[in-house]
Amino acid sequence: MKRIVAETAVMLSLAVIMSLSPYYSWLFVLMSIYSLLTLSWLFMRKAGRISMGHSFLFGFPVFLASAGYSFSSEVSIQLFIAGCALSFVIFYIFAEMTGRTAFVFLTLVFSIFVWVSSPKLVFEKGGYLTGGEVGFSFPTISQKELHILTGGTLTLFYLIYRIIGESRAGYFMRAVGDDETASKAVGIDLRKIKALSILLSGMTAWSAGIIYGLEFGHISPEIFSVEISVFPFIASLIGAGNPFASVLSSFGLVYLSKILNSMYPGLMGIVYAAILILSPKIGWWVYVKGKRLDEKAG
Amino acid sequence: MALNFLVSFFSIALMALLVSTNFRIGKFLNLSLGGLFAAGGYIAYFTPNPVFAALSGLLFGTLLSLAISKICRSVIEATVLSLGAGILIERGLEIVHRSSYYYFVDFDYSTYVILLGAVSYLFVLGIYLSPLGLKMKFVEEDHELAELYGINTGMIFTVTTSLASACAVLAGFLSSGSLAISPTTGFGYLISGIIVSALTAQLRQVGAVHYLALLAISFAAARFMEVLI
Amino acid sequence: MMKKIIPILLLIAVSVAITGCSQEAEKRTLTVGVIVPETGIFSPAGKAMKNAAYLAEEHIKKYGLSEYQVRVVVADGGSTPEQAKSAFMELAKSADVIVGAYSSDQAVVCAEAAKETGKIYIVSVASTSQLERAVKDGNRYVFRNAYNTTYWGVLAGEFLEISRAEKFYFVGYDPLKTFNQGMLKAFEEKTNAEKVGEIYYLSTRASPNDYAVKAEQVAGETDKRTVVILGDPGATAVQFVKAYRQAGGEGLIYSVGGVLGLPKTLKAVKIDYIAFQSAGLENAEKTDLTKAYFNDYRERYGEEANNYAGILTYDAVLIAAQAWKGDSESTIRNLETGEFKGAAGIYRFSSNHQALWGNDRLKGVIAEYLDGRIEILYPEELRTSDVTWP
Repeated sequence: MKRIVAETAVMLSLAVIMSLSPYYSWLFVLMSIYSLLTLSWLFMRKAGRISMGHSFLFGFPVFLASAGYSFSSEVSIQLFIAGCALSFVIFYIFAEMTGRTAFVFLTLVFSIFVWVSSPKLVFEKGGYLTGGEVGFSFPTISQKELHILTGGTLTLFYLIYRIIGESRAGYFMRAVGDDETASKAVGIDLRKIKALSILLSGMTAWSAGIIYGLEFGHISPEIFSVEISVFPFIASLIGAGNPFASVLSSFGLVYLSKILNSMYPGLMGIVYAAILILSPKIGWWVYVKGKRLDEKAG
Repeated sequence: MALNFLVSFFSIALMALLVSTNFRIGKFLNLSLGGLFAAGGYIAYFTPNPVFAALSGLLFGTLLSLAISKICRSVIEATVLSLGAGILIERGLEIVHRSSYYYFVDFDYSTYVILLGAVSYLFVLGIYLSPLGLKMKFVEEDHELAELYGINTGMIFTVTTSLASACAVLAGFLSSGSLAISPTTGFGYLISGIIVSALTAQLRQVGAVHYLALLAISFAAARFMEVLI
Repeated sequence: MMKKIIPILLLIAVSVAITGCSQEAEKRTLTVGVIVPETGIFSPAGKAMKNAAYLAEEHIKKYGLSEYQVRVVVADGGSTPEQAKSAFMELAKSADVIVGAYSSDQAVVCAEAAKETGKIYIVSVASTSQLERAVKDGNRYVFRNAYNTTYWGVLAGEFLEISRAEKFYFVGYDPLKTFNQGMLKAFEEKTNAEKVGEIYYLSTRASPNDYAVKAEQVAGETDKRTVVILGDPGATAVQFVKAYRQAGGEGLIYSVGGVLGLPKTLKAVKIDYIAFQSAGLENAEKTDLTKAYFNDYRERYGEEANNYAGILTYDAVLIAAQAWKGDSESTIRNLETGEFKGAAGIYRFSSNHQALWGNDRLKGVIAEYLDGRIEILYPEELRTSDVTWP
């Protein structure tokens, strides 16, 4: 418990420190969005499902909401709820239909499919064509409000992740993640656990999506890009799957990309590529370190 | 049948074949094929020599297969490694592309993609219909059991990955005459290939039948991709 | 645990404080931030924009275009709205005025960031009508020196008129449907020419050879007397034209420009004839800066200057330099009422902060590429030839 309090304190301190300058406040919001995305991804991985199409879960409800916002706030909210429900159902069906490996590929292909086909959504509103490659407007709030909202959301979902992780449900999730057949044999309801992990993952990703919309004031088809899908994989790899380390690595990756890309455009892409290539090695090394860290803390 | 349609059909069919062989025999989704296709375009621009293109692909494929054999222990790890390799190629090409103009080549060999596609399919079907076909089916269905029965799966993996990489670079080289060469040229081809091979995989066929189905679905995709997307 | 965390937090606090302090320095210089797509799918255009921005910096000094010491700072805006906003926020730390970004979705996000940060933002490429609506809704910080979607349509309509076309076929690019349909709407109601077809080819990202299949279809449905209006400013348009000719298409092609409006590209791909629009051309001298831009660019970078994204980014930097009055508010007033010289003409802005393209001193150029040479078809005062039908 002490450890959770200390970790939460670090996150809140970062939120306070980074609110001192407008640029860092903006950066904090962006970092937090990606941290939430990573936490969302970890929820799903806990139950043994590695998603390579997380941009869909993250982007779909807010994309629909932004399309609805062209009509009214009510339509936007209704479409957002519909988007959440639909993205949950799709991921649940994928998880039911496929094994672990096929799930990775199916989510990847599906998110790319949505990415390339989403510019098809075009309609005329008030004499203007809206949507398509440009995307849709989304409401914004002040940077200060956004900063507080983001800090609060990140802390909340982090605490949910940690508390659930130490609960009975979390234990079942881990068991399913380790071995589905054995879990079934000991009486764990696989469907329920999968649905729970996707729901928790979805709730985190949907919140991140809403903050993303508020941050940019606009949603375009690029929200479904492969880069967004790959991010949580890399962040959790560096963070050894440990939630706190993964949140910090998400922060670090966003910050590093700003520094490296300003040094040489596209340099972060090379770093990303190197991480992916060496991921099996890095993953193993970090996993061992992470285990030790866990043991020490435990 | 119109020539443009045939080129389109064989481009998709070829990429689907490369994705499919890598996945079924090599046991990973080769996400570097898009980058290799784009690299073929750059080779055509700087060194218009198809042999060099094929050899570059072969060399890359061999290195990729060695890296995967050395450090990867699962399908996902190998796939992620190939994704990293694909991104690295694209970034490399961005550095190579110094002009503010797209690159264009003087020649147009794009119709030879039909030949490359047809030869590749005949080659794969030939193998599956030969005595070697049984071994290949064995590797496709149960990799570990095949090893236990003494099949050199490592060698088959390396050869498959290398040949697929060489084919991807060569396809990019041949297509360059009809393309505006840029680092992201290969992305669409790779995605089409993945979609077609994923759809074909749903039929749960093995061996020659699978590859014939792949050809048929590529035909349908070339005809109806617009409806799909 | 806390022992390790405290030094980290201190380090972050110090770095934030240092960054904050450095912004306070007093200056008589004007820093213009330029967002260019140095990476991603628009990277070739990004190189032209970057070069043009640095050339503008040099020309401001050389021709005495500003009372300030102008410094250009470039940031990579990539190909996504998120990357563009990141570049904007990075530049906003030191720049007084920000220009650039490439695609419409990027420009919309940057416009929002301009409002948030209070920095003036001049859009030099994107055409979406969302920007004019943003100004209408109270975002006073955004200006656009590039065309809006309507003007792209107006130019296509001009071409139909000067070519006395009886029929046209519209070929659009599916991922740019809002842009294409917007421009189509702008000229369709006014032209007397009959529309014989409308088709959109898919992005190569979605279907790599769809353009070729569509080219074959268009070739079958058009003849020598049809103007094929090509609405794709990107690289796939080049591939479409090649496939169209290969399939026996005989129509007269008018391109909205972009990649197909670059003489060097037209020479490289050996296209026999094409009519296209651009914001400025070397032999269409609209101000004394037109020649300076094309000549000095060639001399400095060893290749032909870009005549849309490049020239308009060059002009956007020039506009910023001429308009700057020491703070954002005074500069906005100056931009709203003043006149500014660029290589593409003399700029004034409408109440929606849109450059008034189409007036006598600021017009797009329509040209034809024939046997390796460029002839000007429009505007009338610069015309060197009539439209050459096949």
